[in-house]
Amino acid sequence: MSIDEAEIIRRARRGDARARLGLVDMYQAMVFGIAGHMLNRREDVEEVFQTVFLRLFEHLDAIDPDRGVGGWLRRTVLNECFRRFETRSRRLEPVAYQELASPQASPDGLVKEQEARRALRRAIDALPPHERATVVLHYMEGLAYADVAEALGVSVETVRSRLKRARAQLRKRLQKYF
Amino acid sequence: MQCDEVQDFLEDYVAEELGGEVGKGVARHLQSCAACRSALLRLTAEQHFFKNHIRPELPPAELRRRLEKALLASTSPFRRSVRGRRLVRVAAALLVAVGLVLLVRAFRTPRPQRPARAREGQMSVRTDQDLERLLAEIKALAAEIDAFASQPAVWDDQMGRFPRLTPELSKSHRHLVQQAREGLAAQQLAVASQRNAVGDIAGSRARREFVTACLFDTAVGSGSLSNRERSKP
Repeated sequence: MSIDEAEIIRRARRGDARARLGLVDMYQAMVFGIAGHMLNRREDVEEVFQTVFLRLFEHLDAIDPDRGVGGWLRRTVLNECFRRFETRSRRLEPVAYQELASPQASPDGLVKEQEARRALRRAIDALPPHERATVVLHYMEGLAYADVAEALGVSVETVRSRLKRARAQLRKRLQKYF
Repeated sequence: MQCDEVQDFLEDYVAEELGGEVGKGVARHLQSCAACRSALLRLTAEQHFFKNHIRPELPPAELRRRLEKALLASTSPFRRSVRGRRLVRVAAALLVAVGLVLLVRAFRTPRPQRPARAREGQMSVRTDQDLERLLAEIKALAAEIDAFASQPAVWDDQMGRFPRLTPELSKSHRHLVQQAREGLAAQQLAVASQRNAVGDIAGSRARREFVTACLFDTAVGSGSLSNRERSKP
């Protein structure tokens, strides 16, 4: 976390709307990415996105500016997704949003790319929620096993075994794309 | 290390999560084993695929706009600007200061009326002397009320109406007189004196009830107070 973030958090705490929007800009892709990979329904993803940020600003005083809001946001978005898993039935509905960085490819490559993306999406959707969360944190966020364990409140060994099971599942469905 | 064992660790090795002696052992084995190197390549490609495709995503612009609107709504215009926040702080500080001054004055300003009223309202009737003092007071007030009651109503040309007899004796006086006639005040007084709670009679209305009852000579007709009065020299 940068020193700038601590300062932005302090300003946001004082009610500075620009600082608050700055925090949204810094973390919106992460929050939306996690929710987007965890949930299937578009309206759920959007609701979680909005809820998590509004809750952040309600609880900002309880967050240490020097530690940043990333960890808090990560845990909160995951908890919110798990809560929705428990309360709502899942419906398979592809969520197609703008990617953070679209791959540059030929039209043919683009078609293959989109196909691979959809296949991966279906494969991730088929994972149990906790394995899905583990995969998203490790691959999307690039977190080490220990950090994934901390975010999910489990042991490193649990992360290791969840990833092993998840990779085996994904491998079965996506073999032809590697 | 054997191939089976190494391949068990390969995923963690690719994820750079395998350290210590185990990591070194896998690395040594890979140098000399083409089959495991091939497995390593496959896993690396897999890892690359996952990392490339499981990525953060930007929310749609419309969703971002909605959040921004909600955020701006949750912070008032005053709180949004530094100047506004300063004004709010100054106003809050002023309010607190004014409150403190009023509080201090409320405690420190001498209130001459309060003790007098307290004495008047809290008659303690515990000894014969108290009773004597009380009866003397009652007689004085009774005379006062008698005077009020007998005062003729004179039409006030200037005001265009009959003036009130006195500020204190108006509608409530008539009501109290009526009450006294019915003996209610006498009963209340008797009960109060039996409980030795005459001292708790506070406020002008209770006092007027008490005096009116005495005025109509009903209060002293029954209860412990009448006995006390009879025993009075």
